[in-house]
Amino acid sequence: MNKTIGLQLVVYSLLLAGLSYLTHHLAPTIARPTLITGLAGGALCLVWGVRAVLGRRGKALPILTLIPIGYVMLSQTVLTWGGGAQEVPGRRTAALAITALFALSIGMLMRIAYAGVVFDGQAVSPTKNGEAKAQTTGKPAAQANGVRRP
Amino acid sequence: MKGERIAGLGSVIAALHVAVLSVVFGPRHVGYILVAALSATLIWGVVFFLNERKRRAGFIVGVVVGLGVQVVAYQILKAELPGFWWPLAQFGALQFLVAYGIGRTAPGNHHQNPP
Repeated sequence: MNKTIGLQLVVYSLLLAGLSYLTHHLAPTIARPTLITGLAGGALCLVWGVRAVLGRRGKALPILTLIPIGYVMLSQTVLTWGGGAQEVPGRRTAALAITALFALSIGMLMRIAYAGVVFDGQAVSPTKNGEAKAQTTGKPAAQANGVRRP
Repeated sequence: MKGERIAGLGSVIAALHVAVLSVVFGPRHVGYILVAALSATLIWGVVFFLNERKRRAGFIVGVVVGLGVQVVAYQILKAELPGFWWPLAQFGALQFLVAYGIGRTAPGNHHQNPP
């Protein structure tokens, strides 16, 4: 976890709370779990994001918060798209918003889980001490080194 | 240390089985699972953050607070949950798994298992 991810987590928490409130506003009868999850999870993610911005590097707490959020958003996505016997006004828009929240949550979870992980094909650059340091461009080794493929 | 590690591993495997079986065959109430997971993250995150030295006292406080949250959540959702023991086992297993995960990564505990 670094400050960039901390800022992203803060933005995500605000999006989570805002979109869950919007979803509840659109379809109050079916989106109550989404609202509770969005507000509780958003508050926790905001705290973890601020902690990361302040310099704490642990990522267990945000991951353990994002897992239940993802679980609830998955169930809500299935329920809202699957529908039911009665037609609820605003269901489709609410389903879109919940799907976006689900995708955001999984994306944030993967982003935090893989932060700092060095893959096999990633390029390394030597440091002053002679140790190898991984580049954090996120590009494959060939692109990072400016090598063109035939 | 080796015995503790084996006991910890066995406990995690048992808790994983209880959590998965309770989700498959027992209550799949998203609100209850959310309360169990988020409260565990909050309680055990704070406990391991505050009690880096007095681990035993922190562990007891965490268990008591967790049980309190479980009682409140169960009383609120009682009508929608099947029975008493399945939700309790699910709540306990989730709390244990989260506590184990946070305990492994807590500062000053890189070479020990959590209590």
